[in-house]
Amino acid sequence: MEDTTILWLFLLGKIVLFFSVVFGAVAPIMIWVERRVAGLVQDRYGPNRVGPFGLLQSLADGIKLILKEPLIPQGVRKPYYLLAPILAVVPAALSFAVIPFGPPTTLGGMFETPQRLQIANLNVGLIFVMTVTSLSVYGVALAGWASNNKFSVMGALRASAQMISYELAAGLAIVSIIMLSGSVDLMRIVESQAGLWHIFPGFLAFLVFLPAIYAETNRTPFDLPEAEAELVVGYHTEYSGIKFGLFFLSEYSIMTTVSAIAVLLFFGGWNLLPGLNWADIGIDIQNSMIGTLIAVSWFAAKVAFFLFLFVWVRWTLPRFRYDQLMGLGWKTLLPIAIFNILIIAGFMVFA
Amino acid sequence: MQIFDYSGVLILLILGVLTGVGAILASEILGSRRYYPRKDSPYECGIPSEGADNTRFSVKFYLVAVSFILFDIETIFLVPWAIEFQNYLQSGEGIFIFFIGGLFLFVLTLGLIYEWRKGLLDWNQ
Repeated sequence: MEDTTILWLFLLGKIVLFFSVVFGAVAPIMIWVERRVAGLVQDRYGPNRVGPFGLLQSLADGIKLILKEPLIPQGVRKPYYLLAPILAVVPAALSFAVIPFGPPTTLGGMFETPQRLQIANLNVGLIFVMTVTSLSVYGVALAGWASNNKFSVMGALRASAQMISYELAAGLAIVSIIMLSGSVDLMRIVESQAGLWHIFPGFLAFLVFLPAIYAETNRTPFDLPEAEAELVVGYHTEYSGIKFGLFFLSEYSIMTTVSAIAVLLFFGGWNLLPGLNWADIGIDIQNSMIGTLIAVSWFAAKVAFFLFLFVWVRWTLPRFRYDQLMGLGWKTLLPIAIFNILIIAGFMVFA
Repeated sequence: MQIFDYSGVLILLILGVLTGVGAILASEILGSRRYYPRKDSPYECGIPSEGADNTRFSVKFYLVAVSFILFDIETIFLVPWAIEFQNYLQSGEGIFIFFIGGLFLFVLTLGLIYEWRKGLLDWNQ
């Protein structure tokens, strides 16, 4: 057994690392990537002045947003108005508590037993992530309701209805993955994909899960809550300065979390390739420091691909109409998800 | 080690709240202030705001929320079934667990069909 002090230090290290990487690096860089790709797609430059290639643009924007006047418009319900951005950031911070970002490792012999590269080893892992990401609907609903603006209310209503509708489809798609791996512990789900990734038996589930996470994060083609031609920017119309920045930050870090979940559930986490493990090419991801780093980087690369997919889709596809959006969620994805559970169950029993 | 594991969640919760509160406080302290009354008015493309924010909204939103609660609880009921699925398969009771889950999903689908027929899922009426 390890020394308790070292374990606590290790825990704190993981928290500081994960928190600063997601909030301090991934989210700002994603915002820059989003704007840069938007520029390139639309045949213009996008931000390229601040720092090398414009990489420091988000940092400059953050400083600018803090220095802006903290406006509180008249007629807002002030306590709730101030609470809403905080309620948006907290689920974003909590949601990566159980995400494993690498294999169990001894860090090149620093520990006697392999330690999990995961902030909290909860036995309810996947359910915890689903719970916490669905909490983000409270921030959105409260922001719209507290704002004393009809655009905000409509945006918040649309956002809430859409987030809860697609959560059903996503939940049922996840149930089939739980059946395939027999656990809700994300570490075990990754280990069960050592031979065959879940994308192959669970392809239908992935087809349901992918649109569902786009709708849950309110991204194009499902960005009805922010449809700027109809609703200004929806639920955060009355938010400016850093309060708007907090909504923005939480949107991008939740995007990071759901991309990581998509990789962990369907694309084998840090496993090398379907049917080919790290051990097969002579890399020890558990006991060697470099091996662990390679596995973590491979996982990060997969997550980066999914993050890029978010941006790519946003600047390629047009927006749905609201009745089409709800129709797709309830009449197409939900029946497919139920059907898919039966198919996988039947396949596992009779084949 | 349960307390150890949940303390990680607690620390993240505190960090999240601190990020939110800290950013808003920093903005209150550092932000510039040049006040004039027009700045405070609700956003409406530069003209006086039309229409109140607390008007009636479509009852569909309420119905979606109600049916969400039903379906979400049923999804949660499916999770233990899914976790135990492989154990039943290994002990040779696969057919039993398959039909139990199938029956549950059948009832769930009946509910969905009922909603559909009642027009609850049609937004363009």
